[in-house]
Amino acid sequence: MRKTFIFAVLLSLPATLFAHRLDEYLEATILSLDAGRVVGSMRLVPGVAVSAAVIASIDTNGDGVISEVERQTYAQRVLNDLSLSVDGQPLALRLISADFPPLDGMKQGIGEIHIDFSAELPEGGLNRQLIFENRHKSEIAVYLVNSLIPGDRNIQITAQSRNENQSFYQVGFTQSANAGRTNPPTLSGFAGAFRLGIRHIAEGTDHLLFLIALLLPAPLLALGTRWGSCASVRVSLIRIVRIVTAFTLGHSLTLALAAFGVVSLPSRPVEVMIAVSILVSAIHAIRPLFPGREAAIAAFFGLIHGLAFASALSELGFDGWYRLVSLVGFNLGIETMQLAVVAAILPSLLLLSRTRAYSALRIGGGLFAAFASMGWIAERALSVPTAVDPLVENAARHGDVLAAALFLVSLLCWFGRDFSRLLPKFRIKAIAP
Amino acid sequence: MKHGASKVNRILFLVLATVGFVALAGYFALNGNKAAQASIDSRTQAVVTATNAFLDALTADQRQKVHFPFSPQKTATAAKFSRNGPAGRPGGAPPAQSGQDPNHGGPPSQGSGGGPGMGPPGGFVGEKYGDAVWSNYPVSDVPRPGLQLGSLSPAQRDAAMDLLRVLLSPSGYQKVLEIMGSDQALADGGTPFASGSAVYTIGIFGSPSATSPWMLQFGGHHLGLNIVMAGEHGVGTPTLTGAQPAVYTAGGKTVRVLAAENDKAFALLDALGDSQRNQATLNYRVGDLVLGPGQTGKVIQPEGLKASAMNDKQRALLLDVISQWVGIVNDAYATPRLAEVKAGLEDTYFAWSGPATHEPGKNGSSYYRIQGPKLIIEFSPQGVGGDPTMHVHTMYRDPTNDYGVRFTLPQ
Repeated sequence: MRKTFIFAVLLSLPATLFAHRLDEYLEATILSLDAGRVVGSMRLVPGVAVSAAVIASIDTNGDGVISEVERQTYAQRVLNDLSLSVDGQPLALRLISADFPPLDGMKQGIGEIHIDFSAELPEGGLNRQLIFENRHKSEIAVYLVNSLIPGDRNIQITAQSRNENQSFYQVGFTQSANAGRTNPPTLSGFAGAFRLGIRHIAEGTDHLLFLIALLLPAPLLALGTRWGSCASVRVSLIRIVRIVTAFTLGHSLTLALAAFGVVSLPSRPVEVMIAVSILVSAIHAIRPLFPGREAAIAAFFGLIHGLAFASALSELGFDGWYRLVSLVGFNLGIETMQLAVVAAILPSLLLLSRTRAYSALRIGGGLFAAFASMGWIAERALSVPTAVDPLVENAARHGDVLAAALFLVSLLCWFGRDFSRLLPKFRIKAIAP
Repeated sequence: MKHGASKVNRILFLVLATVGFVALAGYFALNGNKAAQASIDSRTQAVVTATNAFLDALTADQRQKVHFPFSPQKTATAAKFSRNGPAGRPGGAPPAQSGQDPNHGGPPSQGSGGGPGMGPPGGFVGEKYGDAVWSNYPVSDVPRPGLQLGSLSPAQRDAAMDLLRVLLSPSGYQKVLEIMGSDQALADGGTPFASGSAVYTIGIFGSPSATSPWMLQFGGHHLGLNIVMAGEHGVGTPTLTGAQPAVYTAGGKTVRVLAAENDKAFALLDALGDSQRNQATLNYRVGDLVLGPGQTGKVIQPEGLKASAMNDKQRALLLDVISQWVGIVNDAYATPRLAEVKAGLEDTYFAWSGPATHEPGKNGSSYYRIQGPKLIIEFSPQGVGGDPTMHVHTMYRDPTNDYGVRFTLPQ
């Protein structure tokens, strides 16, 4: 009765009026490959003209209701019409769930049957091949089949091929040996965070410039409002270690607080304050502002730099325990890179501070840092574009060459110091009186 | 030397200088931010104003029907529900039914009723995000939450369309009109289901705000526009567009719906060299959307020609195709989105299935898919009982940011 009615409707209307599938049975499968198993998710949508036939094969007793037994039977029938194999070895399909729409919807071609299944994926070699075939109701079927990008990084899909109607689907994939044995994510998280920390300092020229500017006068003693003679090597070293440690303590504290959401500041004022910190330490390198208190200043501005590190760490976006692990890794990465930079310039600073040429480096470096910081302040606070970033980055890119050149110059000056006493014309005049 | 005094002076100077810098920097930071944000903020503000104007034009009863809570969730779900009690409608709000209601307002042509009744429909499928539901099925089968245009007074309807005009780009708005026009043409021909612009439904989720997130949904048979507003962001994924009939005549003018989506894709295909075209062409038929309603967040293994193997001109053509979806929303939101798509362009694939030509004045019958790290576009002609060039469904998604989850649920 109902069947004839629907067909009567079909015949009475121009074909273009139909919004839904008509004489086809859409069977769309999405496969997902995991370390130990394959999961398939099917959507089955019978068109209006074929729905009666499909329904008849589901509601086998024709009572207008899809019973639990009929559900299971039909879903199993679909699975029987599928075949899945890996490396030529057939896999047994296990039904996960089968969802049916009410019959009325299906009769109109708008009901979707959902069938999910899974299969064990046996262990195998590196290069593997999966074949999926769908023969269910092939005379009316429109097949679609795809694979999700595997969530397990040890599995990579390398090739896909299908026949013209997608009833045959072949997937080539590589599965590396440690797939299935899940790596502790903490390890890779730690390494990633460590690398990010190193990169952040290496590319974050503003942090480096602040530290270098602060270190410039470290080997010197302040004489009132001017920088005077050099301190002993021991005193200089102790100072440098104190400055670096204080900076580390400061930024570690705020980094930890920000990473756990205790403090949160918009990044723009933080970036501006970092530029200000460079300006302050640059001025200090030219004329002592806070002699003997470099460590306290380093700790104070370290607090601000830590807030900026936190926003870089948020790139990783870990939660809970992983966040702690990545925080430690990230911070260690920062310290490592920082120590590397200090180690690279420390010998030069110590050598050069024993010569009169040091004031040239100190004042030149201070002026450079001051100009760079003012450019950054203009850029970050006033949105005025300046050429500071590319300029400083260019310098930083050749950081190794610059450090080497600095060391060479310090060596020359160090030895030249003795010559200059003998040969007055070689005397390097100090800029600071 | 007066050591004590100069020390105090120096510390004082330092403190004052720092405080001064901080104050100055803070001031400029805030102002600078404002300047940079001004254009986006003013657009979001305009959208909020237009939405409030629409809400103000409604009666209290209508407001209740159009307004739903917005609670961001990680993913949407496939919605299966019967008309007798649409899922996700707390309080059992009355199902949308004006498609079957000959008394609804709007154009004289009755959206439905052209064909004989099909009996009470049963199960339907769509995509459900909180209280929002959209689908590529007609409104009578999958009721959309909210108010249908046909139930609005002319002034209220104008306010609704004004809202869309403010939220969308001029071309996006035009596209919406053409999709509705096509559905109207379908309705005028008589359909056994609800169609026509009168059954296009608007729903507002959450409180319109320039700062906190909310969502607007507008759609019908061939349109599922889901726009999540989150401060400066306006996210237009997922969006479904479609047309049937793809070519129609209204007021003596012939309109080809989604013509740019079709023509620009053929332009790209034409611009490819032979080996590139081979790489782009799938050797199998694709009969439907792979990632249609209910398939949110899925990322399938990409196929076809990678944009890294295209030259600059071809890449520009590819971006031109993508812009047809990205550019539905207003430029204030489309520009940053396009930049994001561009950033992932090297890893974006273009895949084609079907004939390489189309009749002039008609859309083609070929399926294509564009897939990048943050992008999925599908253009799927539907051969359901008729001419596939006259019926198309398209899908636009961002698997990393459907429903703006990146902004509403950070981390």
